[in-house]
Amino acid sequence: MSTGLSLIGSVMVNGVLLGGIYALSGYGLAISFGVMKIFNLAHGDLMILACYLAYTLQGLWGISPLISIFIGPPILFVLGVVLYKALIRRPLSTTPDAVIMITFALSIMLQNACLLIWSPMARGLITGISLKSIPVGSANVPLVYVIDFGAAVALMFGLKFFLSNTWIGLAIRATAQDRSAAELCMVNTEKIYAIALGLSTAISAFAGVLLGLVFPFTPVSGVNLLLISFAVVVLGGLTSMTQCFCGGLIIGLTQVLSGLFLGTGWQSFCLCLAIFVVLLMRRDFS
Amino acid sequence: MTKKSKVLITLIIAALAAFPLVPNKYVLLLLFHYLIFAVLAMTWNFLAGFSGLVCLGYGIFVGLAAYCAGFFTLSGASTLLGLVVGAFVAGVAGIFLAVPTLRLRGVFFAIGSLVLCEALRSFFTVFKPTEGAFWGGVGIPIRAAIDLRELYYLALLVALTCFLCLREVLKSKLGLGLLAIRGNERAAVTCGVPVFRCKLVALAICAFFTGLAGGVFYLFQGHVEPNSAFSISWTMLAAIGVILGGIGSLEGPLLGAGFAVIFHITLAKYAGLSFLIEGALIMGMILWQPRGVARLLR
Repeated sequence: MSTGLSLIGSVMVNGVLLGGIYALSGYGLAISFGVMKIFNLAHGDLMILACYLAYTLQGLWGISPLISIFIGPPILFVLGVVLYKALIRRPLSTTPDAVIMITFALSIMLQNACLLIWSPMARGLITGISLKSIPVGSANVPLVYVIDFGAAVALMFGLKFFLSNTWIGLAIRATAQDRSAAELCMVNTEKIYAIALGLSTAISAFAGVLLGLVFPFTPVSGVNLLLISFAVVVLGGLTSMTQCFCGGLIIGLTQVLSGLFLGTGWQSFCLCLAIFVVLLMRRDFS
Repeated sequence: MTKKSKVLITLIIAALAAFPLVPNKYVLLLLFHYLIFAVLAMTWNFLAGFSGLVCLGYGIFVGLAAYCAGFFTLSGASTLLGLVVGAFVAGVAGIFLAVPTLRLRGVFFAIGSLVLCEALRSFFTVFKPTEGAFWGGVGIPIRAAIDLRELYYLALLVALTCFLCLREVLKSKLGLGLLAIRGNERAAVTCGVPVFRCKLVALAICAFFTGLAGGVFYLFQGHVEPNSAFSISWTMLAAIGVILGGIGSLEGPLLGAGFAVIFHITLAKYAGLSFLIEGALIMGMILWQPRGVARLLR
C-alpha cells in the first residue's frame, strides 16, 4: 500500500512540475488570445520555431540553449510585430474569421518550412544539465523540470506586474477592453496591438526553448502545444496570469494521472476530453 | 440561376458522366480526386462562407466515415452500407461538436474542431481492432468489389447530390436564416432566427456529405489509418479550394477544387513545398482578393 501511495505521490510531483511547463506554454496565448482577442493558431509552431533556432545556434556556433533562451525572444518579438502589421491588422477589424484562416495558413507554412529545413527527425536541446536530477521525497525529479517550473512561476509574477503596473501593460488592457475609449485616452492602439502580439510571440519563444530542454520536438509538435496552451488558457478563464498558471497545473495533473491509470496512450485523448468538458462548462466566452 | 449557366452546368455534368468512356486511367484518377475535393470544398464553403463556421478539423468527418466503412468490412457486412452509416456517424459527430462550441465565439468552434480531430486521432491510434489489422495494428482495410470507373460514378453521384442539396438548402428557410446570420448575427437573433439550430443543421448536413465523400475516397485507398484519416491536410484541401475559388459563392469551390487537385495530386512529389505555396496563397487571397478567382472571372 505504501509503495502505491509513494508512486501516486511521485506522479503528483511530476504532474505539478509538468503543469508548470504547460503554464509556460500558455502565457503567450493568454496575452494574444485572452487579453487581445487575436487568436494565433501558429502559437505552437512559433514555439517550435524558437526551439529550432536554439538547436541551430547550438549546432553552428556551440551556443548553449540556456543562453538561447534569451536570444529567441527579441527575434520573435520582431517577427510578431511584422506578423501583426502584415497579416493580422487588416482582417482583424473587418472579418474575425479571416484571422483564424490566416493564422491557420501560417501554422501550416511554419510546419512545412521547418520540415524542409530541419527534416522530420525528432530533435532535442541537450545541455550539461539535461541528465541531472534532484531528489524530492522518494522521487527523483529532473533538474530541467524544476528550472522550467521556476521560470513559469517567475514569468507569472513578471507578467502580472507588467500588465497591472506598467504603462504599456495598462494600455494593452485598456485597448482590449474598449478600443475607441483607449484611443480617446491618447493610446496609440495600432501600436499597442503590434506590441501585444510581439510580446506574445516573444514569451512563446522564451517558453519554447525551455520546453525544448524538456521534450524532444518535431516540426509538427506545434499542434499539440497549441492544444495544450489552449486548454491551459481556457481553464484559466482567458485573462488572468495566475489562473493561467493554475490551469497549467490542472492540465499537467490530468495528463500524468490519466497516464498512470489508463496508460500513456490515452493521455492526449484525455487532454482533449478535458478541453471539451471545460468548454461545456464555460458559457461566458460568447 | 440564368438559362445560360443552366446549360453550361448540364454540359459539364454530361461531359463528366461521359468521361470514363475515354480509356485514360490517369486523367480518370485526377477527375475522381477532383470530385471528392469538390465535395469537401463545397461543404467547407457552406460552413465558412454561409454559416460563419470555420471548421479546422475536417478529418473528423472524413476519418469517422472511413473507419465506419472499415469496421463494416472487418465484420463482413457490406462496405457500401458501412459508408452510408459512416456518413450518418459523421453527421452525429458534427452535432456532438456543435453542442459545446456553437454557443461560444467563432474561434471556439474552430479550435474545438481541431481538438476533436486530435482526440479521434489519438483514440484510433490506441484503440486497435484485433482482427485483420495491419501496420502495427493501427490500419484497417476497406474493401468493396468495385473498380475505378464505378468509384468515379459513385463520386460523381455524391458530388451532384451534394451540390443540388446545398443549393436547395440555401433557397430554403434555413438558408435564409444562415444568410441573415452571416449578415449580422445580433440582428438575426432579434428578428427571431434560431441561430443555434440553423448552424447545427448546416453543420450536420455538411458533415454528412463530407463523410460520404471521404468514405468514397477511402474506398479507393483500400485501407485507413489514423494519421492520414484525421489529418490536418483535409482541412487544408478544403480551405485552399474554397479560398482560391471564392468563399461565399456556390460555384467558387467547384473552381477551387481544381487547384486543390493540382496542389495535392500533381504536385504531391513536392509535398512540403506545395503546402508552403498553398499557405502563402491562402494568406494572399484573403488579404487582397477575398472573393476569390470566381469573382475575377465574372
